[in-house]
Amino acid sequence: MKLTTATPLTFTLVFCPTFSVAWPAVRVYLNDRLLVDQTIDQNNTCSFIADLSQDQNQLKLHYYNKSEAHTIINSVGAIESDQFLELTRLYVNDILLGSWLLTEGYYFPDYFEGFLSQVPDAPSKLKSQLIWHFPGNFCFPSLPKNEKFWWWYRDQRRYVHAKTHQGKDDYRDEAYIGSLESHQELINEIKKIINV
Amino acid sequence: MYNNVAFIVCPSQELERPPAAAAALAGVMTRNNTNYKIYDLNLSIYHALDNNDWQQCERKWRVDVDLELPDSFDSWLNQIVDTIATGNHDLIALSVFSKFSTRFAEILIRKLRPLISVTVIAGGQGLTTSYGDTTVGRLLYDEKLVDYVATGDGEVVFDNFLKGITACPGLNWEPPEQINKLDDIPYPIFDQIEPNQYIYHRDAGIYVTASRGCVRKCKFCDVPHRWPKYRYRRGADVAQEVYTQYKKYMVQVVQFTDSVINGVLPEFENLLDSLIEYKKQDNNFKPSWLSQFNIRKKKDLPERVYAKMAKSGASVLVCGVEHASWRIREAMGKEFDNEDLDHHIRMCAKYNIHNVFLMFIGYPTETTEDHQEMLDFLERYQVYMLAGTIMVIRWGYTGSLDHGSRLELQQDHMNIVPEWPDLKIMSVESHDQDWLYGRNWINLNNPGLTFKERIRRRLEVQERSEQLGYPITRAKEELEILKMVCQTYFHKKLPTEKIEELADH
Repeated sequence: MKLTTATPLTFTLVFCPTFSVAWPAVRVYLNDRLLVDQTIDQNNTCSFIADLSQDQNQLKLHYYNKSEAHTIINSVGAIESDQFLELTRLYVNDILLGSWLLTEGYYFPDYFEGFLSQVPDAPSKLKSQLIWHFPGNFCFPSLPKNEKFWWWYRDQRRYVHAKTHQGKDDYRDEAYIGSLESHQELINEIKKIINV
Repeated sequence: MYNNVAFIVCPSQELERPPAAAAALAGVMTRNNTNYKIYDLNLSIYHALDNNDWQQCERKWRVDVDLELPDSFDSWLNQIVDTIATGNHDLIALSVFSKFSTRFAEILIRKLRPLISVTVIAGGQGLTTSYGDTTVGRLLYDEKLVDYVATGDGEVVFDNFLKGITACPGLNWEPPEQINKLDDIPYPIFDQIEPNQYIYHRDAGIYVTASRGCVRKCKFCDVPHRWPKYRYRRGADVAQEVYTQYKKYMVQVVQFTDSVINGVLPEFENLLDSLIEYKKQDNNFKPSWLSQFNIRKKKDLPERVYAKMAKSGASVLVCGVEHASWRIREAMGKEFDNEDLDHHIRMCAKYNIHNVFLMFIGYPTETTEDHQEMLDFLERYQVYMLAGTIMVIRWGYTGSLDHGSRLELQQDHMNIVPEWPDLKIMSVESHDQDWLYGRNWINLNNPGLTFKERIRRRLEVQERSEQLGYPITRAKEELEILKMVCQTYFHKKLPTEKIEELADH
């Protein structure tokens, strides 16, 4: 199938789940609309078509099916087993997106009461946290409309590159990631020379 | 024999990593117990000049030979020449990497030579650059600016030279002999050109050589001329070098200098497996590698190989796709059809491996239908470009019959003749010569593909790819050079009646 910028966007999330008493589960919401409700077990992927219909779209994962009972503590007080969930990869239309897209997201843990009593000032919002020991929500960066998605991704990707480049000039940068600059003026000059 | 070598690296080259030749020959000098000092003038000038002046110099080296050099260049050069001349060196070794290094090399050596009385040897591919009716290497030698010119695999020629052997293949116009055993070459040494000093992206890196030559014999390419045989190292040995250099210099990025990293598939997989094994043994070792890569038949590069590539740290593949039309690629000597290309792109997308696509406009048998396929190709793969799978595309300078290529030698039995027999290109002077060389041709079996039509098609793909959002590398530089070539063909060197004839052509 030919892939174009108009092809519906099929998202595939890949997790690394850890079993303890039960498997973790996730609900996927797009603009607060439930798309998927799935246990993450040996089948560690979760796929859905995301219709990014608004100018700004919020994709959110809700991690649930984890309680204090899923953390097994032995007789000497050490953790024997614990359920947790890690988000490892995101594919869109079978294209693996850069890990920066995940690390730009925020995790909002729903701490257990017992934990909060011990760590009362635990942060309510964690950037780039992809391993989750508490149930809670993970919010992706705001996504643009369907037809703008791949353009947005390209621009974000290049922006991330620029942040990690230590050169003092655009010239060298261009050699590495290419230029989006128009050269129409130069093209027209050559056309004039060759008379086309 | 020599105790204090000045090894000079001439701009312009990439700045991301320490120059490969300097590091490789530092290994050779060390093995010969020869003291040396590397002057990486490519990096030095970058730091010494402000951005505008430095870019002006770059344009002079790469595009416009007539450009004036800034005053800051003269000050910097005087200081450099003085430092080298007073450095008590007993040998000056000049590394002229490519045609973009020749303009600087000539300026430097004309200034330095009168101040020194020691032997000067020059080496590097840049010395084969056309200059008038000769080459830059020949010019420097004939004018006694250098005493020796080395061609071919520098590690062997320089090794011989340091041992006092001056009558050997590759030295002063003796035809070079290709290295048979790449494993005999010492590891490159970066002690004086620390990778962290360079202008890198994300992480500092180094060059490593796993092979020389190519398994393909593409008709437009001069690699089979330079390295007639494909010579390669065992994958495990290459991985060992990568890991050893990582431990020594703490570098995670490796750019392979190979024309093709996957020429022999079992050794390529051996390399991947070995890198993966080193990663397992050392959690801090997270290599990221770049290389030229040969897209092959789908059956030869199944998904398993791409998965291993990703796991071993494949980051960027530079691929000579050359043309969207399978008919043209087949004529060139490529082996991958459109299905194989689709497979390669899909696999790279799935494993987040980026590609630089090198393209070729105006192959002698290219028809308007082939050209349309090229334009369609841009739309077909647009999403993969936006996703970064096709990270950059490079269009090049349109079809030319390069020195030593099978096209130039007309072994392809194509009916190629000069388009304008009375246009004596060899009378064009100096450095512009190289860009003009090999462009005055027409295939009588495909007469619609004139020089003018080749340029028109080149401009059309530029416009279309810009409209579709493709990141293009070196576009401005290439177009400026093409403009210069067009001016030369259409205005500067031709009589008025010839220009009118060409314009109507």
